[in-house]
Amino acid sequence: MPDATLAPGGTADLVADERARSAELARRADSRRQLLQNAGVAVPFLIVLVLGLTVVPHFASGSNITNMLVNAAILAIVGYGMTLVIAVRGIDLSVGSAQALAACVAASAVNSAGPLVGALVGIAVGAGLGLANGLVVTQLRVPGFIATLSTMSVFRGLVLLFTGGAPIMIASTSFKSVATASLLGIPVPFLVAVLLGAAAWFAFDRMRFGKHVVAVGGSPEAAVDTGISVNRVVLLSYLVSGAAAGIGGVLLASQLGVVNGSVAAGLELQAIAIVVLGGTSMAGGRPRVVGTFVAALLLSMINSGLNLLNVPSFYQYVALGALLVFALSIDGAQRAAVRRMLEGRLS
Amino acid sequence: MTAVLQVVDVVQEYPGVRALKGVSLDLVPGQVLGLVGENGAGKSTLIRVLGGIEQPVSGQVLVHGTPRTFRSSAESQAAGISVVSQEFRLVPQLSVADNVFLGHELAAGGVVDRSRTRGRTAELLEQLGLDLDADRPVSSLTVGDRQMVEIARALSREFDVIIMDEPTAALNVAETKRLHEIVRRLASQGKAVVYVSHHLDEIFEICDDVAVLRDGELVAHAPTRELDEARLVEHMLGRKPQTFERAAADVADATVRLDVSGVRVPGVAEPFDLQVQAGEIVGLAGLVGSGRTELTRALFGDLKTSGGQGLVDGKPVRLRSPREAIRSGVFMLSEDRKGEGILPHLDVTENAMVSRDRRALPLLQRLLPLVSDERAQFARLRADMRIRVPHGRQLIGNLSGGNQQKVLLGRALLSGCAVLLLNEPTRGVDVGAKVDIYQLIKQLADAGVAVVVSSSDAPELAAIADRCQVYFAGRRVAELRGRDVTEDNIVGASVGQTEVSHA
Amino acid sequence: MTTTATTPAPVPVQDERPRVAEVLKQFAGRQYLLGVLVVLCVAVGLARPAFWGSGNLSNVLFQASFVGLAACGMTMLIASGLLDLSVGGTIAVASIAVAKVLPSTTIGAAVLLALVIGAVLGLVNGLLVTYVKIAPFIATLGTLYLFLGAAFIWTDGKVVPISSSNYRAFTTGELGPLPVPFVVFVVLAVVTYLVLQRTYFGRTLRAFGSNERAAVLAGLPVNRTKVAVFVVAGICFALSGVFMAGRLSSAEGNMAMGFEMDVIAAVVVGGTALRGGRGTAFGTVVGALLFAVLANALNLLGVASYWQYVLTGAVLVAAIAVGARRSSAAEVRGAG
Repeated sequence: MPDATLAPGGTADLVADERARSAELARRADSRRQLLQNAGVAVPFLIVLVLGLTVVPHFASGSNITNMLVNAAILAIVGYGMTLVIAVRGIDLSVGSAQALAACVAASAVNSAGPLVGALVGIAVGAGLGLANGLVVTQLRVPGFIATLSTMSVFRGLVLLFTGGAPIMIASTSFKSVATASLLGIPVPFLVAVLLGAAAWFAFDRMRFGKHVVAVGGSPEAAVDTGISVNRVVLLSYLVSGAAAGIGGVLLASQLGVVNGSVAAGLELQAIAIVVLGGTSMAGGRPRVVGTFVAALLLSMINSGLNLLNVPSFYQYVALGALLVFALSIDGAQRAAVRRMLEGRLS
Repeated sequence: MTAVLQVVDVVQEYPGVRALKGVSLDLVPGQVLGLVGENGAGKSTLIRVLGGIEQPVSGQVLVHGTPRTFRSSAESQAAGISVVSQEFRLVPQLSVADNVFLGHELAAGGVVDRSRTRGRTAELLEQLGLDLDADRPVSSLTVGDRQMVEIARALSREFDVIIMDEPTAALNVAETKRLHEIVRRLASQGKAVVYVSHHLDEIFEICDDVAVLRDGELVAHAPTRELDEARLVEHMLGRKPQTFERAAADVADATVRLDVSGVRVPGVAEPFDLQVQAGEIVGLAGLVGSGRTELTRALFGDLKTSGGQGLVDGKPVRLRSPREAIRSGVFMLSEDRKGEGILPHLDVTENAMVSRDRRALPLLQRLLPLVSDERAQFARLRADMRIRVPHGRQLIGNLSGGNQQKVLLGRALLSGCAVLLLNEPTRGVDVGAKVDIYQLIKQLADAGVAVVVSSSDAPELAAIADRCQVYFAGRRVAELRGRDVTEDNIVGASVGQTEVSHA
Repeated sequence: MTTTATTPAPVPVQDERPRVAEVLKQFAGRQYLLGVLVVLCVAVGLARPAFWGSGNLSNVLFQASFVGLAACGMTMLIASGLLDLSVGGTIAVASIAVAKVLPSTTIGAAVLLALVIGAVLGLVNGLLVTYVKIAPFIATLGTLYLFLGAAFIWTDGKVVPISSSNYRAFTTGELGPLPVPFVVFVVLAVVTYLVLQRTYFGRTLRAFGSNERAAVLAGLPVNRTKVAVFVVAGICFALSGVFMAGRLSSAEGNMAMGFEMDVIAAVVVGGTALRGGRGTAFGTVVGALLFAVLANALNLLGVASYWQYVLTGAVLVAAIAVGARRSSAAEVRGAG
């Protein structure tokens, strides 16, 4: 029982104690949340890895690993862009079509002007498409979902028109070798993905731009109030997403050697899946690049595992769907528990 | 002394409304100006104009004698005007330090200097008397702490004028005192402070002079020593005020409608007991963090409790969810009207009807809503409660805070509840509607409802409560009755004094 | 202690409800989309008079109905702040079921089976979203794959033909000048409107679409209703599949690939905001018709099919951009 009459100083002590208690609880809840977010993707990753190594023939073979890493790299790079867009409360459904267009234009450019120019053209096309998305969202005030739903259709139409429905074969062997080249045993595209991932992480975590991204996604009113140009941040995000799709498209073209207007169909669903699996909230806020990267590996392992098991591709639909649902149900329930834990303390 | 900020004949219009009809003000360095007025009088509009969020239709704003137009809050901040707004502009996912420096980060080449940011933030927090870890995410802070971080953020920039809009709305007594010290210090440093508040006692406490806005016009501007609260309210309302008194209810023989005993509530150290009779209004007082705020939520099934027993009208109840609570006859209104009260896309009639006790209705109406009946019900509510709305299909989002609260009270009434739990019933409500709401609460009690009011507004509790439990640091430290329910006793107990001064 | 107060000012006496003229005016002011549709029809009709041919118009109405039937369910979902991307999967599974059982049972039973399947698949989605607490977008993304996979596995990747001419007649027949599915669509749209605006169920879903926390605190049966909305939507999707399969005389896993985009577009362009809180069945009808006319126009103009992708997307953006310029909040309920 506290003293009968307390001097105001004593009150401050008690309030301070209260604060210290809530601070400790908050710290614990925060670290638990981090742990769960990481576990949300790490646990399925480990499960699939173990399953793959034990059950799938040739899973650990050199060619399969290379394949998995290259596929994961392409997916991860697109995922980084998607992570950024989702963090600012947007969504980019056009990444598949954009990647196809970038890949085909790049292929054509490689054939006419050489590998380096071709690659740059591909990336530029991706960035340009991303810029178009950003302008529709920020200048025309069309919600991201609908805007990129539309551009998904537009870009797909454009690439089909560009290719006339026919495949484009890439002549340059040096270009095609990029996807399979390796440095110290690690495929080059994977290194690119790791480097880009590190750069993305640094930008989000340590740079002013990253804080602005979290602000725009977490509390747009706060961002506006502090003078941040929400439009500029959103525009940049879509541009980056497009550029990432473009980089992925160049790598895809290199990997496949032959591209046509139908490649990368359904990429947006995979990209969104890995972003959400990786821990970035659909409600906007902190982008979690590392999670996206791990989730990309996860998905790639699943795809290759099922292929090696000669599972007909339709079963892969089922597998991917089930994995998503399963991983998210654990994730969602645990996050709700942490939220409830914190709720009790906030009055 | 040359004015640091001058507002000359500023006019602002919205479709169909003249929000500011030619307001002129001068501010000199070191001045603390109180700004008061009912909701809708133009205070928020004036703040938005000064803060650069809106451009006035006509008139001038001069900073250091130079006319300026601000096209964004960034421009107004650059000119030396800082605004601490009522709604928090914090990013929950970022740390305290990141929030304080958001928009004006301490960065080199785009890379944030983390140690400097943390250090500067720690300094500011220390000045505010806050013992907070600058790296903590804002999402984990209490409402009171978030307000303080808002203030820290305003202080982190260079400014000549600072406008504080209801800065103590979420602060407890100790924090309010500290804020006042800061205001005094800022004034002594030559800053000009505009202090906007509904808490008239604070205006008299720290302001040199006070300006009163009414219906978009500046109707009074005088030194605070020349005015008193009654005169101030008179200016705000344009009419002579009437005093509101409530004779203590005679509940000696009334039935006990709510009987809770031995319930363990998170945040409260000892098991919770409460008995409320029909017609009683019981107040729950205590600082933010004292455990008070958890109690009503627990009673409504919105918070997990353990042990103990609850009876409503003598029948045992298990309050595991709001839906079950309402079924058992308990209804609660949250203090967060916007986030937890109104359904913004629905009209006022539907907002009032959503919790209606359908068990009392004829069979057909239990299955499908009858438009004519609902319309009539709402018309009655509107008349009885004096809700200012042109018709029943108006979207509730367009109403003022006071009118929204009245609609929500109507929702509570239609739920047919035996026990009504109110949290901060007049937060963000202007004086005129405040009194209406007190009368409505009294009427509900007189009609036999057992009312529990949880509030940080001690004068409010003193005015309407028959009994008042006061909480401090997770414990109940006082149970005041009858004429002991005074503002002094409530406030004293809230900060730990257990001596009660009897009237 | 006493609080100072005022003598209550008399509240001005006002009309009980907004004058009908006012509501209509606001309603009409919002129907820019209907205007776009009319203009589009007139323009296409001028360029290609064949547009007005009864066979062609019938085509348009068929297309509109397939999207529209599903869109009615989607309207309720989106108005409650939810979403269902698994439309294509539900349609496939339901249609395949019809195709498979039709040889051995009556049309009525087959259709009923399809609707039950739609309800069950919707139930799966509803439970995942409500009780397992997965966000609708991603949950139905997962079930889309699941349902599609199931459909492919069931048919072994092949097409299942429908040979019952009675079935084809029933699902592709005409009632007067209008195709049966279109009539069903319009009826369903009216029902959707009534459910949304005139039932407690509709009020509940609009409420938690508007502010879920407030709806919970008001004691509304939010969880139960969420699941129910998914079930209802699933039934609408299955109904669409029933008619689609009749028109195609077959069913296969692929039959509605990418359909979710068309459905969501019809609803959102029609005026039901993705954020939830309000829904317009009338808008959905206009939205479905708009896209059907658009596709038909491109066909008539002989535009290479690839251009359809481009122009459909562009029109969608244009329609939203024009609409976004107008104020987004309705002043009065019923006006938008």
